[in-house]
Amino acid sequence: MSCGHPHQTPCDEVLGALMLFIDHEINNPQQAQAYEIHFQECSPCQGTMEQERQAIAMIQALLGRSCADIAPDDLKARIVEQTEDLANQMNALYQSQFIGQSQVYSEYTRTEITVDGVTQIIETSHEIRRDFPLE
Amino acid sequence: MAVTLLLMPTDTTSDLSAEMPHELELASSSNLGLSLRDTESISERKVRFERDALVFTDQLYSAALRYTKNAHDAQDLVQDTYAKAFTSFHQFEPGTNLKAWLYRILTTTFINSYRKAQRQPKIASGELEDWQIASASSHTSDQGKSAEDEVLENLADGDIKDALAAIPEEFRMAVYLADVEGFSYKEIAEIVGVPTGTVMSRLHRGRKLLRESLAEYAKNRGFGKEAAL
Repeated sequence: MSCGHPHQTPCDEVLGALMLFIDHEINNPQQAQAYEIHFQECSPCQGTMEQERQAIAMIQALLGRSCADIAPDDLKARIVEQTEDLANQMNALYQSQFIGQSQVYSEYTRTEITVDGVTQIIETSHEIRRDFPLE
Repeated sequence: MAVTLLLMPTDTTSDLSAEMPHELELASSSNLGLSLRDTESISERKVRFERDALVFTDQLYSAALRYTKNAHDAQDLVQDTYAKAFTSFHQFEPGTNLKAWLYRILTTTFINSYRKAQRQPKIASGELEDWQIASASSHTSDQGKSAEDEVLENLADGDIKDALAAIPEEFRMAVYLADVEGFSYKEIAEIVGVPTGTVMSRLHRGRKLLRESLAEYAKNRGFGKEAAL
């Protein structure tokens, strides 16, 4: 089971966390470093880890190669159409929320006209009222 | 002669604070993110959705095929996923992981609706402890690993897909999300809705089952003798 030498981190602990180590899921940097040190010191554990790493890499390569399906064009078209439909419905809903209500904006304009050194200022203020539904 | 024209609308007031009940229910969420205060219009949201979310269609379809195991359900699942995603797109926080967000919708939609129609054997209890015990006892000789790799490399894509399809759903999902999509354990936990420890255990078991199954396929195809696993 072990190389026979004492280690700061026991073989059992390292082997128990092999998959985490290989998947870069050991979140404590000190712990990850302790495992690194263990692998440098203990060749049986190093060998087991390398073997496991290769096996996982193999699965990833095989799955990556075989599971890259392309969605059919008509599915893509249906999704675009569906998004359009939903957007229209949501817009209709948005407007319907305000039926029978009105919205009031105040608009203020200030016009400054300078003709031959004479400045004239025209100020206007009025309200804009929108009744829902629009149109 | 100089003419300066200044036009400035000011003080946009609104008396539309009252909430109106609405008949139309588009999604499970009653609030569709529609309010006058919204800075983004529906049309703008649609443009953003089409630009950012639709690029994942192939990937989601590929995952949906692994989940449902048939093209018809996979297409429906992806379409449903995009419907839900669009109607709740205002809840997605820009800058966070959109791919993981879409996968979560895909996965929960599958678990909640599609799986009910399919009969799935539930996995045995004790899956949690399995991953810890299993690797501790695997301090074996390293003979034959490259031989095994060579054997597996010869497998046809169809066999690999079949081998994956044959392992139970929980394990299949974990393996797919980790080894094809490259999600972290934490992301998978959020996508599938289980604790990280469960993800670890499922991934460990799933990879083991898949490896065994692949070796079996290789053996049946006559690619090698008993591959050492």
